[in-house]
Amino acid sequence: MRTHGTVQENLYAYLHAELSAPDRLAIEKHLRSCARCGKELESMRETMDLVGLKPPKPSQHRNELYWQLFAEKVERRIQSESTEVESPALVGRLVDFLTENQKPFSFGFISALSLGLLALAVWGLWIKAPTPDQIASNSSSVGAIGSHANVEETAMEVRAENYLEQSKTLLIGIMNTDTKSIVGSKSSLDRQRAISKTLVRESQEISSGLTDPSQQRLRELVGDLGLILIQIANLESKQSVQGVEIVKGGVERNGILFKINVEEIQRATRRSRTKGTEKQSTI
Amino acid sequence: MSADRERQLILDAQGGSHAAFRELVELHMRQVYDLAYGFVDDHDDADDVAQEVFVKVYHALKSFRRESGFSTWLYRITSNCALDRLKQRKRSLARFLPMEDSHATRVAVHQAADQNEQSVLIERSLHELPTLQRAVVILRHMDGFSTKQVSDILKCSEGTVKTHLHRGLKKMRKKLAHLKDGSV
Repeated sequence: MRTHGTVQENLYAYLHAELSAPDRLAIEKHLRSCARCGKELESMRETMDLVGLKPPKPSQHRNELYWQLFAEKVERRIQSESTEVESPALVGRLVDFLTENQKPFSFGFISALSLGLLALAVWGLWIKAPTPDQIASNSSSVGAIGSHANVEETAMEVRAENYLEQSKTLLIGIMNTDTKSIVGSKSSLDRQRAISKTLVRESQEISSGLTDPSQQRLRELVGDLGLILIQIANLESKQSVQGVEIVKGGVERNGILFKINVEEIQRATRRSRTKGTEKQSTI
Repeated sequence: MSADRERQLILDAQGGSHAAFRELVELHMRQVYDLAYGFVDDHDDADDVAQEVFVKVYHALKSFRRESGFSTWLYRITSNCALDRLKQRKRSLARFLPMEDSHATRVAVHQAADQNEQSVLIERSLHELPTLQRAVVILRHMDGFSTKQVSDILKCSEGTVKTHLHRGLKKMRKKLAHLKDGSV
């Protein structure tokens, strides 16, 4: 004799014809004599009618480009994690080297490092320090949050930000490509070319959408990046080794990855400033 | 893709082939994302969890012995990562409070009424289930895994899977009937 609980827990499998013949017969026998479980079967049928329509898969929320770059992002994360693991040892070795073996040299090196960091900080302040015009335009944009033009600019900047992030992932993949192994990894090159083609189209639309004078630097970066992406999109399998070397050279010469990083840092700074301003205005 | 091809990819990836690992990622990334989202209910978190899953798979792949299927093993890692994320979230923000009368639900219901999209209501009622019931409903009902496979993925007995499925679907039915009556 089956218990009500056991029968009810198997109703889903029963309705989906997943039970073995003896189990199915036992449940049918129980259902014939048990009104309570019969009612539960009807409820389960109603449930299947209600929840039978499956909602769209969450992965459909992401566009094709996201999925094309997903594996690249995973590889990047694996690389960065392994670098993090290795770096303490490197730092340790450097400290040992400076403190134990080469003391006179270490003072000179540390001084040079400090000067370099100071120069970077000054440069950062110079870049970040807003001019009166910028302050005015910032405050006017805060005041005009509801205006259609500003909303469009922001949407385009967000799109540009996604474009930069996706391009950066692609470029890091290319920069880490071992040209000796390119011949054997045609599928990887094909994928990178396909992604580049999508990104080239995206760069053209973004460039024409960034019309505000304050977006000039971002527009230039999108344009420079577009040229590199065109090179990748046009890589030929037969001359891929030379082609990849040319792309790598172009990325390094133009400081593309550095510029993307600077843009990301500046956007993050602007966001935190905006948050700070919002907090102050609510106080 | 055939089971033989997947087996070969696993062997190649275990032997250090990056191309094989990448193909495995591309083969399973959408399902992993869907399952992660089922737990965390947030696209940014689902993105992060899905990446984390494959990083873990990369490091643990050599120890994978094929006693269970690769998908089962992969989804078990996904469930663990997603549950860890929920725990972190609860600790840091107490963000996932019971959603019985939450604003998000009411908004979703109104949107659904406007758009006549029953799938929105189903999704919301699904995300109001307790975590394990939700996981079982997703794996068993949405993804079509067997009771045995779900019990392997979630490391619980088949009886527990059946109980969670029955209770979860019952709650969803009540919630959907309630939402359809428009009495929220």
